[in-house]
Amino acid sequence: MSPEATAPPLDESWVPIRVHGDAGGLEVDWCHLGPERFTAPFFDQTVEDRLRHPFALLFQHRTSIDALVERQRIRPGLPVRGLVFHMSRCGSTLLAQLLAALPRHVVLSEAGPVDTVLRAHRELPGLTDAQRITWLQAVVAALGQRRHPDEEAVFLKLDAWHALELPLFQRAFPGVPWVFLYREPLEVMASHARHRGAHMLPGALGLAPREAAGMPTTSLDEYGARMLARICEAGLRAFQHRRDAPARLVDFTQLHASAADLLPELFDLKLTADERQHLREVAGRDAKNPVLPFEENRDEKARGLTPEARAQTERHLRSAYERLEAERQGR
Amino acid sequence: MSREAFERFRARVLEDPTLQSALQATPDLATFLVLAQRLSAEQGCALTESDLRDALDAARRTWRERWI
Repeated sequence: MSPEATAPPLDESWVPIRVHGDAGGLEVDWCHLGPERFTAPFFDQTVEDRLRHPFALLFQHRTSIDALVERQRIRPGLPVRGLVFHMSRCGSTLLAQLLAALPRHVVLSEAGPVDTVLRAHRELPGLTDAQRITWLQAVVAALGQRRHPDEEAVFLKLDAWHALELPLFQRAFPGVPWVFLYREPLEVMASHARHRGAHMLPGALGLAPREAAGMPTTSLDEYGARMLARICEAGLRAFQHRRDAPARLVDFTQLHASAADLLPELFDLKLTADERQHLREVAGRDAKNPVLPFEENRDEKARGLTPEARAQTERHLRSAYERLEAERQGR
Repeated sequence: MSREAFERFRARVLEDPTLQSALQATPDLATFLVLAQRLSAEQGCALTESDLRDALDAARRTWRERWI
């Protein structure tokens, strides 16, 4: 499939599902999403649901990244009203699912095209931050179109490693409220011990281990603990230097206690009594598998750690967590 | 040859809202394959069921391998 020379007249039903390319530049694959809302726990799941339709799978537009930027000029999309950063395995999916439970929200949860443009400078040497910001804004505008009459605002739930790019997000979306979620480190590490996220695997994100974690590593546990510490420190640093946008640090225990009540406060949402009740019901489900009720698994999570993983967690990650807690509690 | 025919059909569909509407209205695979064969023949780039299944497989592979 060759890229189309000019931007086709794509209406809001067409969304970018994949950005790809090499040193020659980036291209964008557009899928006809139709009326599908982004309600699945992750962006890719919504796309995969849609790709079961043979038309959506077979007939996709391919354009240059410049056509994506031009599309934003013609169709700017809905305003971005909130950004969710996190250290992973700490309730961010629950927060995204609560936001998506309100039909007026478009929630982009770990959207692949967002990640690709953020990491494009790895493939395209010399790419400036200004260019990445332009692409990031264009991707979000294209994904954040009003495709239902009720929709009026966009929220981004980012990948964990995107916290490392928090200053760039603040430049791309000035004034937009953001939160950084985190959790007791042993519980997070135990969750990754069972199924590691991409950021816990050296090289998986196209980063050299030294570049990714800041120093050499001798084990997966050490790498993971250092990477999580770096993510937490990025969240803390951005919070301490916040300027024009409301920002919050949120520990998992706060979410677990009352996510549905905390949410409106985080993003200044005005909810009806019915909406509050609806969110409480959604909060009672397992966010990553919404057909299951949520089960408390904190003890079980911490028990799954090896002594080596515990030691690396305490050595490299504990301090960052405690500094986040101290900052949150104003100590 | 069949790949070239499919690419021509794809280009025709992507520039023609009427063809798009017809194909979007058929989520059932068997019905879709019959309709796509008929429309591709009408557009002068006749495709067989096998051509279309190959194209679907290739599209699935592209999506599955997006991180590689």
